[in-house]
Amino acid sequence: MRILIIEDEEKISEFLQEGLREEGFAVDLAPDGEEGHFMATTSDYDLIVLDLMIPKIDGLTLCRKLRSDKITTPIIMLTAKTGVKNKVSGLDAGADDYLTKPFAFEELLARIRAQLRKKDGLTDNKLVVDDLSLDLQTHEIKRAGKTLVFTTREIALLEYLMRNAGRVLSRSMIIEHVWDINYKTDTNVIDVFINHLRKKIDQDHPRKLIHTLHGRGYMLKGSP
Amino acid sequence: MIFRSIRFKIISWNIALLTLAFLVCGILAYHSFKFNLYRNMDDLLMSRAVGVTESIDTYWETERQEALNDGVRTGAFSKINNINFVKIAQHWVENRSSDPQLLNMIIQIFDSYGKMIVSSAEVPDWSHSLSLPAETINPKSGRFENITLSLNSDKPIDVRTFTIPIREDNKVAYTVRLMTPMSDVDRQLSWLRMILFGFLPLIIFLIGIAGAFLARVSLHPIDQMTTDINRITSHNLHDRIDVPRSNDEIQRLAETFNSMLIRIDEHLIAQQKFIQDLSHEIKTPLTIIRGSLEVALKKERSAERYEALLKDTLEQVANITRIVESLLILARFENHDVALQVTLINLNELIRTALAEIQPLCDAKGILTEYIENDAVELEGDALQLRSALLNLLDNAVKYTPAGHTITVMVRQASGGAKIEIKDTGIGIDAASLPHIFERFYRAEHAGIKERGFGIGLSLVRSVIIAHEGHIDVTSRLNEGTTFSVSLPLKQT
Ligand SMILES: Nc1ncnc2c1ncn2[C@@H]1O[C@H](COP(=O)(O)OP(=O)(O)O)[C@@H](O)[C@H]1O
Ligand SMILES: [Mg+2]
Repeated sequence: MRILIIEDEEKISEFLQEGLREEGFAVDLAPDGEEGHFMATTSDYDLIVLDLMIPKIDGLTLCRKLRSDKITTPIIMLTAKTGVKNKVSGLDAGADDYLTKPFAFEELLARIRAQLRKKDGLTDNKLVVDDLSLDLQTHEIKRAGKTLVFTTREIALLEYLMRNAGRVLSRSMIIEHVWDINYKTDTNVIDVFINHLRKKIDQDHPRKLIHTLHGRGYMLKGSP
Repeated sequence: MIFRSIRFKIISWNIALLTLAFLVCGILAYHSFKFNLYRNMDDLLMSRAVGVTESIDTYWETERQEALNDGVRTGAFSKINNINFVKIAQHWVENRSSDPQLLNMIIQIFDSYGKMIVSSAEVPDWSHSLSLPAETINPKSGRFENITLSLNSDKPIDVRTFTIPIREDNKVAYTVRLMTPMSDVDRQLSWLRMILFGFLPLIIFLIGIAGAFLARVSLHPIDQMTTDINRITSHNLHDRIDVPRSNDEIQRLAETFNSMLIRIDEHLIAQQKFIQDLSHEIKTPLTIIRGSLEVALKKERSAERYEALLKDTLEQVANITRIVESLLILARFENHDVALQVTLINLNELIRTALAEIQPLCDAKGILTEYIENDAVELEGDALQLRSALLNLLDNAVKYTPAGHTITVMVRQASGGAKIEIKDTGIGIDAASLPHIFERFYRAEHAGIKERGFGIGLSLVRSVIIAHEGHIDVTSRLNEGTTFSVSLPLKQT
């Protein structure tokens, strides 16, 4: 899942990026409103973390602007201001959630997961396709009751595939949602990672879940 | 409750004083009236008595003359022990007692032994003689006496009597006593008493009610004010109480109260702003500390990573300390809590040392400094505070000026004071931000400038200059440079 963080305080965006990456998210940073707007409108993000006090275009204005640009990506606002009025104006501007500084990183994580869940219409933190399951909170993966061990990047890829189970995903779509902007687009790397997934998930099972559609991409699908 | 009100006090004092005044006046009036009534009555009694004696004497004289003509003996002409005189007196009384002048009066005539000769009305036996021997009564002024009589078995009446002895050859010839009932005087006095003790209390009572009403009307605004004031709590200090347009103590009280509210409110707003600013500003370093620690603790990290984290954390803690300290200084300035340590300062010297202090910064950044001393200026001021203000301005100039540019400082004597100019040819401030740069925590946006403070520097500078009764101005153009000009008076009052 790819997240855009629009925050001018470098130290804050630094730890956010690190923490979220370690959770398997692809994270991009924008230091001001203008750049944030550009990035949010040109790439497809799964979620935006937006600071309220940022240079050039302030958070509230940017939020309204994105909504009027038909960007429906969930937005979580960060602010040093407390008070119901500020919260209301943030939500009215089109934000989906609101977090006041200083916040607990785990709380931000939980809220990000909640927003993604809502976006995909999930009711709990578990993705299940056939006999394959992924716990989004603990990152525990099981196939037919057996626990499998994955790297962070593999989990991120699996999560994206599972969230879009039954749908054909092109390599560029996968790149965009699993890798961040700094990654020099090399689609071969996807094939490598898909192979890793195949080995871990499908190798010992007669029923294959990961399908290759030549010229179009990949799809994760259980038996009907 | 009612007993503790001003209204009650005013009214009770009012009534007490009124009652006292009425009581004194009433008693005085009553007694002087009574005195006058008695005197009138006594005058009447006396004049009537004199009239009676004269009339009897005249009557006697005519009778005597006739007897003389008839050739009667001289001894029989004395009124003393004379049966003829007794007859004359009886005769006179019987004839004249119906005289309108003697209406309402009883006339008694006593002989020289004090025995009653005649009485115009039936009187009790005990009054058939004089209470005192006639010889002891002054024949000029007579004697007044109050007695109680029961006439005709009616209920007893009070009468005033006047007794006057008539002398002949130094002996009492006869005595006249007049009696008149005091019922008239009593009636008038009781009428007066009724007015004084019935009517006046009523008036006092009415005045009391009127006073209560007046007090209520005039004190009503105070009750209103009490209600208003009770309404005001720490949550609505910006509310004001209604000021009655009465142009009196009550209006002044309301106005005074309101101006006190304003002072408290202002102080509270400043205090709240301080807390808000503080919490807002320290949230950024707190977020950084909390977030980076939490993220770091999620996994095992390398020793270098821990060290870097600790250093970052320390830096953020230092930031918090700086924010709190400078904000406290600022708040003390704004509350006028800072007393200036005024001494005579050599301003040129002060600027020179400040410039020397920032020289390493300029050297490191490749900025030139120039110092123009137009005049030698000495002024009164707090050297420490002025130096810190100068350093803040110079620090800004260095921060917001790129390498290769020049910072110029100029000092000169101006009308009534000193003028200092700090001029840089740096990045400048855009017109939209310029009016705000002296505000607490305000930082203008500058493209590509990384090193930034907390936006407290200029607020402090301004506080120091204002504390010195000076003035600070700024002109700036984007990408061309900024000039701060400070004017300071030579003397501190
Ligand atoms: N010499 C200058 N040139 C350009 N901008 C300046 C200069 N001095 C002050 N400013 C602007 O005014 C703002 C407020 O200044 P100050 O209160 O000292 O805060 P700071 O801690 O950011 O220096 C600065 O953030 C900067 O944008
Ligand atoms: Mg500064």
